[in-house]
Amino acid sequence: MGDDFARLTNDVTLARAAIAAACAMPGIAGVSPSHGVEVATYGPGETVRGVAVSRSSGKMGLSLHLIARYDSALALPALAEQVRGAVRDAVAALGEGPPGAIDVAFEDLHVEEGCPCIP
Amino acid sequence: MVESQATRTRTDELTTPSGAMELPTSQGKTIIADQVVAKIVAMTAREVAGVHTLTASGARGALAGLTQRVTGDSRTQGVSVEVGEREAAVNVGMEVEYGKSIPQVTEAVRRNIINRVQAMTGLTVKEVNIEVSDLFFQEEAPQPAERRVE
Repeated sequence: MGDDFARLTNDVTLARAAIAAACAMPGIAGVSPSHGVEVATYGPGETVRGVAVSRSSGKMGLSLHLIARYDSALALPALAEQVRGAVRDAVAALGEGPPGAIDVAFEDLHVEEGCPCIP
Repeated sequence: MVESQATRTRTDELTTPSGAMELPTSQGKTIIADQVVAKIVAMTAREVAGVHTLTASGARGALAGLTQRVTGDSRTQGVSVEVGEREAAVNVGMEVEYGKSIPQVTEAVRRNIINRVQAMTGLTVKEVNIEVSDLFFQEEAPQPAERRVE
């Protein structure tokens, strides 16, 4: 019971750190508003949107749902790798062991207003 | 009609149940939603000189379900994509400016889409079907409303 409670608080902290690290990157415009089932981590009185923490199979896993920022040099697989790196660093800074898998889902693209590509 | 039918069958095999591309890496999956691919296609097509607007057009629009799958975002109007694990098929409807060579413009659009989608998502674009639904004449352009205010 005590264990469960400690873990719950921990997950919210983890989720907050992970999503903050991802959203701080210039290539990321924000967290994806969920279509259908909400992707979030729930804690007491708090919801961290866009990231889910899973602890099945003993290893901590993270799933992030993001909106990327469009530019002409966009490369999503490389951006996903950078997100993984940033999230891994943020998780390590909390003293948590390295996460097993970090899934990165790009749900949408954000296109700046006045982008030259739009007439 | 026949061509659309063929497209349907072929890409059905490509499409993942989630309707998104999943790229497994040793440290987690990278998932790219259809909407992302559709936006890249729309931006890339518009960049090409000679393309006036992207338009969802009659038969192809109804058949291929242009734009409905997405959230009604005007940025992906006239574009439909079917995305598999590694490959994508793209349908684009557009108006071309009068005076431009349609084969030249569509070929440039096709090349641009294939290159950009590959570079940005890692997906191989298997086919780009383009329907030129109309011609745009410069003199048809409505007078800009700002003129009156100046």
